[in-house]
Amino acid sequence: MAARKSLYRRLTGRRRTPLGYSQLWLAPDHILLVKSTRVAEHYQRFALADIQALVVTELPDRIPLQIALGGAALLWTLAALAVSSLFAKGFFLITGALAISAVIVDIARGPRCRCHLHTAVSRELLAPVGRIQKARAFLDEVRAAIEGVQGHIEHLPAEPVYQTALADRPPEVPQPPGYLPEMVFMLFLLDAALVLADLRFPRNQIGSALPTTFFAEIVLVVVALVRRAGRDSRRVIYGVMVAALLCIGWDAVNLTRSFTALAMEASHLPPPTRLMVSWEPLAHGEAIFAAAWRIGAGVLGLVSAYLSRTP
Amino acid sequence: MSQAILCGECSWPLPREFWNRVEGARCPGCRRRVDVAVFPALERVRSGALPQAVLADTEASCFYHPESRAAVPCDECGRFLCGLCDIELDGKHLCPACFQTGLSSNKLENVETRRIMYDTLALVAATFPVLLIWPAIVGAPTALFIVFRRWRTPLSILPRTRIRFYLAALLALAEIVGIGFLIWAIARVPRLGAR
Repeated sequence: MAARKSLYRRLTGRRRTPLGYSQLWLAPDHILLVKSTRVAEHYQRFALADIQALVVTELPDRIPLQIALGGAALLWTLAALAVSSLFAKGFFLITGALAISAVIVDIARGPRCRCHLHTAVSRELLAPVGRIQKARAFLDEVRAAIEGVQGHIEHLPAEPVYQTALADRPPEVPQPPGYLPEMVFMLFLLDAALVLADLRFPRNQIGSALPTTFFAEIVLVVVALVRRAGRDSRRVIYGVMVAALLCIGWDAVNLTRSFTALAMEASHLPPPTRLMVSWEPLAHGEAIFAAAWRIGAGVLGLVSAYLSRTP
Repeated sequence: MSQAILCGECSWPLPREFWNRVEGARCPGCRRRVDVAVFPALERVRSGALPQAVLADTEASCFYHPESRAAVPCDECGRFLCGLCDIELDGKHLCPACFQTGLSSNKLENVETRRIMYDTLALVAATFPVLLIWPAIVGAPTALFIVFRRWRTPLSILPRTRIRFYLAALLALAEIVGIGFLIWAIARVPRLGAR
């Protein structure tokens, strides 16, 4: 059965998401933004007479990410050579090929962008316009339609204008630093207490918590360093964190070594033997070192953080 | 007053010199390339038309505002309307009540903001339950019910065929036949342990 004659003409392809898609259509007097959840469609109309501006902003490229994803997909596909089962070979080849083709398609679609539509009362993100190449075609088509309703747009001559723009620069809103560094230093002090408690009461299995808390330290320190990204000027704190990361690495090596020794010992004993009760995660000297540097880093970091917040 | 034109990445206000440049420009805030197409509507001053007061007893007044002079009758109910109450839509003049009625009964296609895709719903009811076999006992009749109940309900305002309705109906019928056959076959097979 043929569809009835529609007044809408398709402007863009579908921008798909896991829960639906969005798409732009052009009518004689308005642009229609359709947001679909498959089961329901939601419509937003923008009268051509009311559109004040369309702004297309180029987004940063994702070449490192695309290379990393492509490499990972290639390695995944090559895993087919390392397995003997026919099913496994097929699985790795098909899923790997799909991943590689997804990366290739992403690269072929060109640089990404974001498009905003301005009216007197709103600023709407047009999600279906997500690539520069498509955005240019979209702008050409819509500009002609809007000009038909509103009149001609004057093209301004090209000239250096950055000075004017910089003069209009709005004041920056200061962002207070977060409390993640303080949490990291508190965790250092807590872990120091755990290490010392394990040293004092070796049969209470307190040391079993150390692998988890050491891992938490690594994650929090890395997150704090990444999030800093030049925004937080408290250099002492982050210097302490970098040094602490090296010490955590040394503690992790000692912890792994003792656990490996325990596992080797367990492999030579009959199954019911309960070796974990007697496990000492860190030797005496190593434990003293682990506790000492944590107390030092924790106190130094917390004092530094406190002083940097005090006016 | 018009609002500022902002960069899509850093929300930096883009100055006039950046507007309508064929080669685009670089945002001073984030240094990203921006293409800004600005239209005459930006400079337009918007103001609503105020209703005029009734000056003589012989003048018709607005149904909703007796002190305002009527400007136009409603094309649906015929009530006189002032400039404030007149809602112009597709060349028709409507009063607020008729506009609201049209909106709630989905008769005003050009202002609808949401539509349910009953054909997709029917297809979902006909396909997903059958994956687990027995839920199709509920899914297939549901799909058929939706197809018959919503056959005439307008679907999307965009071009869309009724192919999903046809597929849902065919699948649902096939499932009903299949389940009927399954029940018949189970009833025919002698029970385990029966003499």
